[in-house]
Amino acid sequence: MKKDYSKEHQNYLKKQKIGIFITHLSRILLLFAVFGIWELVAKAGIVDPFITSSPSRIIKAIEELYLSGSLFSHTWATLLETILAFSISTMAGFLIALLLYSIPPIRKILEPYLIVLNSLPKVALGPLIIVWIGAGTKAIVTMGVLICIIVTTIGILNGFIGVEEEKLKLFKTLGANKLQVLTKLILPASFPTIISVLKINVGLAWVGVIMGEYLNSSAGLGFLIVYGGQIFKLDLVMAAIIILCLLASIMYFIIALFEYLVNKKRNK
Amino acid sequence: MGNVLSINNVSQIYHTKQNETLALSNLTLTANEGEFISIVGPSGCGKTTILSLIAGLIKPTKGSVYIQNKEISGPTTLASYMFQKDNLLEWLNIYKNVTIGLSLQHKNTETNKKRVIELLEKYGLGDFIKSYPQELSGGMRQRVALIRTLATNPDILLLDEPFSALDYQTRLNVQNDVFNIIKRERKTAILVTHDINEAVAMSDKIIVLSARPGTVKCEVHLSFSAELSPEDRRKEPLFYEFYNQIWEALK
Ligand SMILES: Nc1ncnc2c1ncn2[C@@H]1O[C@H](COP(=O)(O)OP(=O)(O)O)[C@@H](O)[C@H]1O
Ligand SMILES: [Mg+2]
Repeated sequence: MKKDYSKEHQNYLKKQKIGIFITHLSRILLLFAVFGIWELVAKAGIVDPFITSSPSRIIKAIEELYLSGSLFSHTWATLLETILAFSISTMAGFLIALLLYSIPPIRKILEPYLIVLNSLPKVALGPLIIVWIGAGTKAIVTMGVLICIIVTTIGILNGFIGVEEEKLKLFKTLGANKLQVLTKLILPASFPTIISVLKINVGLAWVGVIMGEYLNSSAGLGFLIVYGGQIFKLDLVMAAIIILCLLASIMYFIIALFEYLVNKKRNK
Repeated sequence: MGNVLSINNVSQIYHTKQNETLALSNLTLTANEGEFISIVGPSGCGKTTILSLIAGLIKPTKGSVYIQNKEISGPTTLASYMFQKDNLLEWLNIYKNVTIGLSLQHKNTETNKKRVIELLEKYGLGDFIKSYPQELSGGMRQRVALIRTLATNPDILLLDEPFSALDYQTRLNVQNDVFNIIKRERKTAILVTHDINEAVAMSDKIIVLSARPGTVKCEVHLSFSAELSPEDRRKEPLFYEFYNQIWEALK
C-alpha cells in the first residue's frame, strides 16, 4: 500500500532512514577501527605482536592453515559437532518438555532434579564422559548436548506452561481434543519462546563443543586454540577464535531467518 | 418454548490444600429458548462457576445440568464461551480465528464458511477478514470473539463479564452490538456481570445471587418491549425502577 503522506511525515520517514543508515555505518566503521588500531599498534611496536597477534598475522595464520590443507578439516570437525549437539539437544529437550508437560505427576517428581542438574557445571562431568564414552567426537558431542539439554527442556516447558488458562478452556469448549490443543494452541503459542530458547542454545552448543575439545581432541577449532596456546602461537589461537565468531554468527543468523520465515508465513 | 437449559439443585465444592470452599449451594435455574439471562452477584459468589458447570468444564459436586435435555458430563460444544479477554489467537487472521471452532470440530463446510463470512460482513468486520487481531481495536476484537462463539452454532452463549475490560464509551457500543447480534441470531445467552446497569440494559431476566455460597436470591423479569435496544432502554423510566430493584436485592 502506497499512501500520500504529508511533507512532515515524509521528512520524518527520511530522518528515520538516515538514522538507521548511520547506525549500520557506525557498526562497520567501529569494526574497521578496532582492527585498524590493533594492526597499527602492533606494527608500530607499541605492543608485542607475538603476545597480542595482529590482523595481518591472523590472516597469515589462516592462510597457512589453508595451504596445509587443515583449515577445512578443523573447521568442519567443530561445526559438525556443534550442529549435532545443537540438533540432538533441541529435539531431545523438546520431547522431554512435551512429556513433562503432558504428564504433570512426572513433572512434579522430576522438578527438583531438573533444578539441580541445571545448576551443576556440566564441565565437571568431563572426565566421566571420557571414561564412559571414550575420547573423540562422540564425547565432544555428548558434552555439548549435556550443556544444552537442560536449558532447552526448562525453557520450552516454561513456554508450554505459559499458555493462558482461559485459552485452554476456550479450546475445550470449542471441542478440541488433546492433540488439537497441542498442535493448534500450545505449539503455536509457545513458538516465540521456543525460538528464544534456540537462540540461547546455539551459543551454548558452541560453548559445550569447545569445552569438549579442550578436554580431549586431536582436531577442531577448540583443539587449535589449546594447541596454539601450548606452543605459544597466539596467531593460531586468534585465527581459530575469529573463525568461531564467524560460524557462531552464521548459525544465529540462520535461526533468526527461520523465525522471520515462520512469522511471515503465519502473517499471510 | 422449551427449556434449553436447566440447572437442578447444583452444589459445588472446591478443594484446595488450605481449604474447601462451598461456591454454590442448591442452585436451580432454567433458561427458555432465545432468553437473555443475566447473573449478578457479589464477586466470589460463584458466577463463573455456574458458567463452567454449564460448559461442562467442571462437574457439579451435587445436582445436574441439562442442555436440550442432555445431561452435561464433560466439555460440551452445545454451549460456547466468551470471556472478559477476547483470547484471539495472534498468529491467526480474523477469519481463521472466527472459524477455529469449526476447524476443530471438522465442520468447515461451505455452508458454515459462508455463514461466518456473512456474520463478519453483517457486523462490520468484512474489511478485516484477512487482518490480524493486533490490528483491531478492543471493541472490534470483542465482536470477533462473539462471532467466534456464534460460528459453531451453539445452543447457549456463555458470556463471562465480556465488556469489563472495555472503556466506558466502547462498552456501551459493544453492549448494543452484542445485544442486537444475539437477538437477531435468536440465541439463548447467559451473561455474568457485576454491572447492574449492563444487566438491566440487556436482559430478559436477571438472577440475583447471594454472597458465597451462591444461591438464587431473587429473579427479576424485565418487561421492556422487545424492540428496545440497550441504548433505548436506558432512556425509559422503567430502567431506573429495575435498577433500584436489583440494587436493593443485592444489598
Ligand atoms: N478452581 C478453583 N479452586 C478453588 N477455589 C475456587 C476455584 N474456582 C473458584 N474458586 C472459589 O470459588 C468461589 C467462587 O468463584 P467464582 O465462580 O470464580 O466467583 P465469581 O465469578 O462470582 O467471582 C470463590 O471464592 C473462588 O475463590
Ligand atoms: Mg468470575
